[in-house]
Amino acid sequence: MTTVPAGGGLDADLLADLAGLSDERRALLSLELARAGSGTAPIPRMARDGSEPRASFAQEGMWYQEQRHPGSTAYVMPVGVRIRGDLSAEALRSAFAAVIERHESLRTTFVDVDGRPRLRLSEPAAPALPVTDLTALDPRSAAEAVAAAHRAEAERPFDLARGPLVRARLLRLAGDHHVLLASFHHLVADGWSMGVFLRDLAAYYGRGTEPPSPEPASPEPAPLPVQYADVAAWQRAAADAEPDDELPEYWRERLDRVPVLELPAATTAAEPGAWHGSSVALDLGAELTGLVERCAAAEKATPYMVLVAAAAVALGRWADQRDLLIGMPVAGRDHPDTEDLIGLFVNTLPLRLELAGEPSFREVIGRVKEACAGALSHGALPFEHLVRRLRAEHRLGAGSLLQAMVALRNVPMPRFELPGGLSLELLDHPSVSTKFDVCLDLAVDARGCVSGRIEYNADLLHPAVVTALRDGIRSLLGSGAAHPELPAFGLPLGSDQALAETAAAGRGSWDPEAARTAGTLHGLFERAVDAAPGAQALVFQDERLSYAELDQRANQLAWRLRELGIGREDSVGICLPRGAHAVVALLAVLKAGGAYVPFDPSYPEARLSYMAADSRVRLVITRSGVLGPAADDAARAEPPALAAQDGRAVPLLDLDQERQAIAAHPVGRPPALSGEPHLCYMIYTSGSTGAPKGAVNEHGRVANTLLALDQVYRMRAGDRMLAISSLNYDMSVYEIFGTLAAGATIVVCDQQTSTDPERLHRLVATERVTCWSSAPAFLDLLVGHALGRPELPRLELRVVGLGGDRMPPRLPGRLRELAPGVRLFNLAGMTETSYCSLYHEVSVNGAGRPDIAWGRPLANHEVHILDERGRPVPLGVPGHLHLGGAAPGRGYWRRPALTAERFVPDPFTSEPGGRLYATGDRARFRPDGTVEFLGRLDHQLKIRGLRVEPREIELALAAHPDVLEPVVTVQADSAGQARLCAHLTVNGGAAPGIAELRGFLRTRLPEHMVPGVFVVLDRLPLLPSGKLDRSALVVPDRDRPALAGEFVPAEGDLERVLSGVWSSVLDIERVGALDDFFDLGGHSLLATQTVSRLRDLFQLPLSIPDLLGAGCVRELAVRVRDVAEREGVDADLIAAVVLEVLEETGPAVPDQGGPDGE
Amino acid sequence: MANEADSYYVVVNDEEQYSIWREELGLPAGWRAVGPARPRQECLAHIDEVWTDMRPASVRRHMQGS
Repeated sequence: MTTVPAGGGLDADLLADLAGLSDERRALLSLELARAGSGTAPIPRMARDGSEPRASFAQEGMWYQEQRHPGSTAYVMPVGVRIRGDLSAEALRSAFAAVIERHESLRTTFVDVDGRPRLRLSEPAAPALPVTDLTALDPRSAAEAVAAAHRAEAERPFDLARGPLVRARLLRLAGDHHVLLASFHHLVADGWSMGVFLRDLAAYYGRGTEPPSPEPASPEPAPLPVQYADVAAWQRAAADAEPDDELPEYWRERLDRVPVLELPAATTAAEPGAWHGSSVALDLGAELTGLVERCAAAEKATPYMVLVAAAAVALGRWADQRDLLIGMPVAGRDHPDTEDLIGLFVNTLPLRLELAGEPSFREVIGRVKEACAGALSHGALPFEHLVRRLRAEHRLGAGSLLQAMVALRNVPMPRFELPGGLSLELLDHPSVSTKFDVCLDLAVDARGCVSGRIEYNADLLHPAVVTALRDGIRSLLGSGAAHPELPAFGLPLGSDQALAETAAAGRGSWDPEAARTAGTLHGLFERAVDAAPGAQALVFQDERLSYAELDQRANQLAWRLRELGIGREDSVGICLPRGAHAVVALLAVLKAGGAYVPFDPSYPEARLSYMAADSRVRLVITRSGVLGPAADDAARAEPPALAAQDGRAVPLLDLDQERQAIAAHPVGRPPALSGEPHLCYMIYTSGSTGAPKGAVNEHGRVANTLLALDQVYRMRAGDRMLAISSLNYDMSVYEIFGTLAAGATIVVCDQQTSTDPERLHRLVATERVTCWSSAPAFLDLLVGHALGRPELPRLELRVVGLGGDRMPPRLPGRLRELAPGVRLFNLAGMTETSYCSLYHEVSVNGAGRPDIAWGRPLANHEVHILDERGRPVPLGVPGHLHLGGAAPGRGYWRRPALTAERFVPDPFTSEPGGRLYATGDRARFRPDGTVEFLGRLDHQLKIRGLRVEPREIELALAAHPDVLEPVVTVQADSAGQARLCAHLTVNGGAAPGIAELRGFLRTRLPEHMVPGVFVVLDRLPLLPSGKLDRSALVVPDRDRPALAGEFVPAEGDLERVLSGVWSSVLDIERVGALDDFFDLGGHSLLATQTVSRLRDLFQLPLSIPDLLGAGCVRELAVRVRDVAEREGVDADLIAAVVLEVLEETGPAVPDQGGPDGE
Repeated sequence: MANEADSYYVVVNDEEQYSIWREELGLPAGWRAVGPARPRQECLAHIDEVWTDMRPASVRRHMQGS
């Protein structure tokens, strides 16, 4: 513990000089100064009256930790002492006894009095010193036996109440060689104490030999002025005398918004707070040590500071942080009276290192130096005290303050020579007080080199990651100390070879011929047709098409397209609802040689018009009535067309109107025009410049992906795949073409069924679907519905692939309940990279926690995780995910600059001219080589699997005349669902109503991109830097949003029940009878949930269109009554009963009474 | 991420696909530089102008041939 009062009368220059000393030298210096008569008052001795004094602050903190983890060995300190010469075990035992008698610490135990530890002193008693004879062992076996004994000692806990808290055993080896293994509990000893222990042991041994030598090896140890308990009491008195129980200003300021170090955890720790240690050696060797020392001298710093600088940069890279805390241990023995005591004095001071910007390694050393000086001059505060005060002032969460520590012992190993040729020396420094996630425990060894280990929490960190961290620190020291002027965070984190090895482990491999010869999407289908023409290709409602039939229908349409001038590399729009026609149309476009472009019928006209102009589609395949009244109007006057934004009238091919013309064409295949290198589809994705952009892909590369996935899924001809994803979502590509390539059956899901869990379940069960692919939200829908309904027919799902979005952690477990044998895959990929690149079979581990990594690359896809300079990262370091090999598609349609920016040269491949796609995803490699997704590098979002660039929405909002500055974010609602929120400032006076804003956006954006929540602000919240403060963009919880209309309370039981259900699903306190469901923040999935609940409550066959058609509670009540009447049931009566039951059992339907004085 | 003042080359491969590459790194195999090193945005602006036909050269040749 530190005993110099804070800021204590030492001037700044002297402080800086002191800070430049190593910890031990500083302590020795201050002791010398004190002894030289600076007049330090001696520490008072307490009366030894048998009362049990309180433990010191440091002991209290440690004792509380031990209480939380009974049987822990985290604080057991075994120490080896090598003794050479003719040793008398009995004399050693007497010496050991004498040391114990001398130091009350070693006779102290801890008793719990009212939840606080008190020190109980026992009388000296003869200690045991068991001897183990290992003389028969050869040197190597002996060394192993010693190491094993050392480990065994480390794993034997102490009984803190009964004691003793020190024990020893002697190992006798061959050739007059002994090892004394002494173990201490950290509560009563620290590193400095070991030197004292050895010195006193040698002194007592020397005095105890027979006959007593004329010149004793060392004088009788002088009587101790005080004992540890006295120092503890003195420390407490000083603390109690402090005016306020307040955190010193220095620490309050330095530890403001203290960061947590987020190291790459192996798994979430089995037991939070448990600590199981392991270590990895860290030896600098002579050359590197010399480099560090010269660097320290040149920077007017200490080697310790250079080590901390390297550790800070390394930890910063691994945790991807620039602001971190590192613990610095200090001896805490500033008062001369403490010099010769065995006891717990060591203290930890936190160093706050803010390393933002692009500091050079030199600058980092400078910041470390400044932090050390500051900490030391304010080091009077015991660490535990600091932590307690931080918590009391609510500046610290539940976790620990420090996760990392760097310790460097710079004092030579004590070694004592005794008469008779006996020598005693410490074998190693005992390990630093543990409980940190990672601790660099280093010392200067006999050769003058820095060596030691990195000790770490083995529950949290994987040994391979710590090894990589070790190599990174060495590498940083080597390059940083040699060239301190270089940017610290740009220095390499390992040798080229080591980094290349890590990269190779996760990369995957690419055979360039594979994508060139994989075939075309329609070619793979045609192969399956020829193999089994009678097999079932497609099922849609009542329609069933065999492979041959599907082929023939597609061929006829393909001939028609050729007739209309479609050929290789031409794009054709597809604007069709889900169904058999859509699949036929896709195949037809491909067979004609072209590429298909999905035009989602639900998109607003303005967007379709934009896409038509941008894509330059030659024509759009559709059906009557799909493209709205404008098309019909046009149909009467002139050939049907879609008005493109550039003024072009894009001709429509109406499958219904042209049925005759199409059927006139041959059923045989048109000659193949397109091959592997040609375009197969263009899918539009949200663009951050305000307009969507088309990502284009080539046949060969997509075919490669499909075949690879077929292998992963083990798709067979008998499988039945549900095609549920819409065509403008590329999961649909596998659902259709992957299935057809395997000769299996596609079960096409219609629009309504896709969002209705009841119908969906029925479809999956009745059609005996075996394979499922979609965004996680849809499977969640199915699973949520089926669990808890054991009467429903069993599902035959055997493989499920989920992609595009984060998998909800509970989903794998719930799916397993429903379909025990199912294989679940997490898929990752982008439209830009031939649909899918990574896959991972999800297992649910023992504790029920799923392992949802992104996994490994598919065949011929290559994975690279690169730092800001394009170098491969070491294991565990987050970087930017790049995909290469057969993954990158052709790029973005008519966006040369964007394509050039995102599709970059591949410097790692042997295939000349290869490219990598920079995904914008942050990821890292796990020790097993799988990829772990960490988030986006930009603001791109996923809403129910679909990509959304918030900027696109912001620009659309900004186009409204009343909107000034919009910001769109995604937030989780109380049910954990992602929803888009718009915060905006307005021009001038009245803000536009939510309904108006929604309506405005719906003419420009697809439904999933329209925010559910709108918040109008006076001004956007800013950080001190002037940038937007996103964390301050909160959404008022549960408030009814400011809608245009007034709040009209629900009338009657039925409306009250309905508004109650809406209130619960939408998580809003009050729902008015006339409020629109979507204006309140609802969306399609919430609509589904609402209908589900109402069906359960009323036992009526309500449908989602019923809800969507009604719009508000009042209208919905009308519909519910209608449906009820048809079923011969009284809806109002049911509602009354529901309310009665709820009143008895407690509120689940909140009171929807009138406005409350708002 | 990338510093705006950093210097890049406009680069192109045998399929006449364009991209950009940092000046201080060696060019990967199969890519050659076009023009002088310049700031990133200038490279991209140049590419916007010159890369008019984004089809790979081999596809273009194939289509012209037949």
